[in-house]
Order: sequence, then C-alpha cells, then structure tokens
Amino acid sequence: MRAKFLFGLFAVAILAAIGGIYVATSSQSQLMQHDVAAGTGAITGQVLDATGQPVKGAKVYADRNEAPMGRRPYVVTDEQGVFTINNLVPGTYTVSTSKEEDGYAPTDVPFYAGYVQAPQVIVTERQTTSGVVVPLGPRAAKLTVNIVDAATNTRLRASQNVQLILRRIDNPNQAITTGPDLKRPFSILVPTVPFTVEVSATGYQHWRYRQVKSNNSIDVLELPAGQVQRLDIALRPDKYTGN
Amino acid sequence: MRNSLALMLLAGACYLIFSQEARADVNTITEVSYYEPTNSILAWAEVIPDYDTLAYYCFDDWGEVRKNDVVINSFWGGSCEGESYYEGFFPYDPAADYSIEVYPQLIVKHWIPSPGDGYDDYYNYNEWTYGDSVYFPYYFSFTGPGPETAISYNTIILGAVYSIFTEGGTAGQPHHLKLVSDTFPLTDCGSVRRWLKFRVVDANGRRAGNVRVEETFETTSQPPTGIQCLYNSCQSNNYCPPGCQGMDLDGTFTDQLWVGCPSAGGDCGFSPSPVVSRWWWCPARFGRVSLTANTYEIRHNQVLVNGRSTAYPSGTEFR
Repeated sequence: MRAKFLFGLFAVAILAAIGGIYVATSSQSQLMQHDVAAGTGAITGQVLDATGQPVKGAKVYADRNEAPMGRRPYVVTDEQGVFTINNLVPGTYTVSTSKEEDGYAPTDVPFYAGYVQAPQVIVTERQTTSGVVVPLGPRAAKLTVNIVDAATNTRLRASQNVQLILRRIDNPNQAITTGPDLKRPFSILVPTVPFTVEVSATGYQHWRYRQVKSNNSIDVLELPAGQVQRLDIALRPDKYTGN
Repeated sequence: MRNSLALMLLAGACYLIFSQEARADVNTITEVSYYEPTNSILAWAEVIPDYDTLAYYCFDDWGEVRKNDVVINSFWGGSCEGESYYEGFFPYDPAADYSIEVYPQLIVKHWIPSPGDGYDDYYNYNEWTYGDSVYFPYYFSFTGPGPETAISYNTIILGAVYSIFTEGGTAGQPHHLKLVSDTFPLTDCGSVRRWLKFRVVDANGRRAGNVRVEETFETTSQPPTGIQCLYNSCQSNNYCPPGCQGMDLDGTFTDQLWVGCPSAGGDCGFSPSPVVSRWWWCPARFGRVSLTANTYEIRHNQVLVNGRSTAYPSGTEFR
C-alpha cells in the first residue's frame, strides 16, 4: 500500500515533468500523418447550387480518371459548403457531387446531367489543389417502383433477374439500369426530362410504361423537379400469353 | 502546508488511478414499439454510462430512426454527468419496418496536474480508437497507463462504442455484405460502369454499423494467390486497392467496377480476369474478417460479377 502511495507521488512528478513531452508527441503524430500522406495530394473546394449558394451536407466524390476502380471515396461538405478530400494518388480526378436525400442526383452520371459539368482536377504529390468549385446538379424527381406478379399479386424472386431500365428520350444512349428491391417499393431519382421506363424479368413479358388507354407500345414519363411518382408494375408471366 | 496538502491529494488521486483497473461501461437501450394512445410508433434510446465511466469520460451520442431503411429522424445527445436519452413519435404505418440506431462515443475526461479538468489521453484511448468505430458489445475495460496493456480484444474491437437495435434485436458483429443497389450508369465513352453499393451486416442480415473495410484481389485458382494490383489494358495502367478505410457516413460503401474513360474499347479490361475480389472487415489491431468473395470480370464492353452481367436485386446478400 505504502509502495503504491509512493509510486503515486513519483507519478505526480513524472506527469508534471513529461507534460510538455506529451504535447511534443502529439505534434510528432501529426507530422507522421503528414509523412504517411507522402506520395498523395488533396483537393479542397466548395459545392454551390444553381443560385451560387453554398450547399451543406452534399457528398463530394473524387474518381481518378486513370483508374476509377474500387471503393469510391467521398466527403461531406460543411456549413459553408466547403470540402477537402485527402490522400489522393496523383492523377486527374473527376470531382462530382450529389445530395440524394434532397433530390440532387450524382453529377457524374450522364443520365442525370446535361446542365452541369463535373470539374476535372489534377492532383500532384504533396500539393493541395484548392478553389475547386463543384456545381450541384439540377433537382431531380423521384420514381418509386413496386413490382409484383400480375397473376398472383406476389413479389418476384431474386432468381427472376428483374432489371429496371430508365432511358432518356433526348439521348437514348443515356440510360440507367438497376436491380430493384423485390421486397418493398424501390425509389430512384430520375431527371426532369422525358424518359422511358422498362422492366425485364426472366419468365415474364417485357414491361414498358404506357399511359392509361394508350395505343403506343411505350410512352414517356416526365416529372417536375421534386415530384415523387409511384409506379405499381404488375408483370405478366410468359405462360399466360403462350410466349 | 497548503502545497503539501495539495500534493498529497494529487498523490492520492494518482494512487487510485494507477492501482485500479479503470473501466468504462456504457449501456445503450433502444426500442421501437407501437404506441397505442396516439396510434404512432415510439422510438426510444437511452445511453447509460456507469460510475467509473463518468469519472473519466464524457460521452456524445447520435442516432437515427429509419423507416424502411430511410432515415426519418436524426438525434444527438451526450453528457458528462449522467444518462442521455431520446424519444420520438412517428405516424404508424403497419406495412413499414422501423429501426433505431445509437452510437455513443466516449470522450476522455482525465485529470491533469493543473487547475481544472483537462483532456489528456491518459489511457491512450485515442490511440486505440483513432479512426475507428468500436463495435458491439458496448462495454470495454482496460488498465493504464501506457500503451497496449491489458486490453481485451474480445471487448474492444473497433473504436467508438455503439449499439444498434434493429428489426427486433441487437446487431452482432460484421459478417457479410448486403447489396443496397447494383446500378449501371452509362458513360460518355461507352465503357460499362457498374456501381455495387454495399452495407455491412451481421450474420442475421442486420446493419452492423460503420466499420472499416478493405478490398484485396486473389486468383481464382486453388489455392488462391494474392494479387497486389490489376492491370487495366483500356488505359495501360494499374489499379492497386488502397487498403483499410472507414465506411461512408451512412454505413455503406460503393464498389465501382469500371475501366474508365477514355478507353481503348472492344474487350480491353482488367487482368487477370476473372479475378476474385474479397472484401474484409479490418478492425484496428485485430485480425481481418472476410465478408465476401466474388469473381469480377471487368472489361470495356461488359462487367460481370460472379458471371452475371445484369444487376443483382437490391437486398441480395453476399457472403
């Protein structure tokens, strides 16, 4: 007991003496982090909306043009719309942004684009490329899709390879394909230009969006910014039509 | 005399600190239930640190309430003196799944030999937890001072303490990946681009929080051989995965499979092909845990995952 008490006294002296060393150690740690970052660079900038106002809480992605593989790094802008992305391997990056919870789609997906251009930024070793202005894209609309089997009114299975295809009318090469959630309604952002909706699934007739009483094989859908449109899609099994 | 008394008090405090195992214990109780009087859903969470924890730590906590996996409310709290709790009411939708998550984060509150409280990392807690999130269970113990002493890997796994209550139970440790979305956004140069957005889940498919993940590549041969980098013949360069990194703020990450633009076209792509992509959970100072392994074939004109060129449905589990 006494020994521990004496040790405590000793510890007080040691703590008082090394107080400055701890600070120095912390500084060294920062320097080490700097060293770890050797061979990399950084990008800093600001996300602005169409009116030039900073956007808080936007995601900012940096995709390296030379090797855009693997996990996509991103950061979130602060109150002033400012962001910094560190530890980037030198190269040319496409810097894009999105704020999907507020209806702003990724600006590096041509399906949504046409109004803004994601900036190209050159990153060099040990340098921070600053002043990058990243424009937020136009506000999109949202499509909520619910897909069932028309014969049984039940949900489809994963093995039926359900594909939802959205295609712009003004440029049919700009499309997006995704595998919708089969257990619940599935939401996806859509541009405010006319587009078509198709669904394919193994064992089912190909489905195309058509307006009620339309004689067209396919109709276009056009939604204003911010609107949420629900589509209840009942797929008809092939066997019911003899296909 | 006053100085001597102060010195003795300081010594006593140090004795207490050095001679006992300091323990930090945070219990988090979360609940989502139907609230009949108002026909609503009650989401409730409480973070309760024990006495020892409060002696050395303050804590912050934040959380989210989700309806069908969509965040409908976020909340923040914290205390240096007692518990923190949250409750919220939401319109009842019998067709919806509700969940609540809470992430308590301890903040070192250590006495230092100067007037007032200080924030000296006496137990090297920050070293242990830097950049990480502590994983379940929301309890840990350690002995100080000095680094790497008597810390149980079974109790400190990641870094920040958190608890998740979702779909009727508390989440377990990261086990595999669940697909959030599989999307093919067409590109300007015609090369196929595929985004696999994953969430790390436990063995029962419940969200397992924001953990660190890493991708490695290996051959499809048996036994497999590790591959450090893939060669991209579309751009005549290499892709080398960056190592262990934290997940995105919403507990997901997106794996981009793409040769890029501009591209040489045709069937140029990454080699070797096919290649096995393995995603790991990589907690700090703890062995890696494989979450999933899939074969990738990534070319200009098609991207195959396990031989499949079409999108997987959202919710598919990759083990």
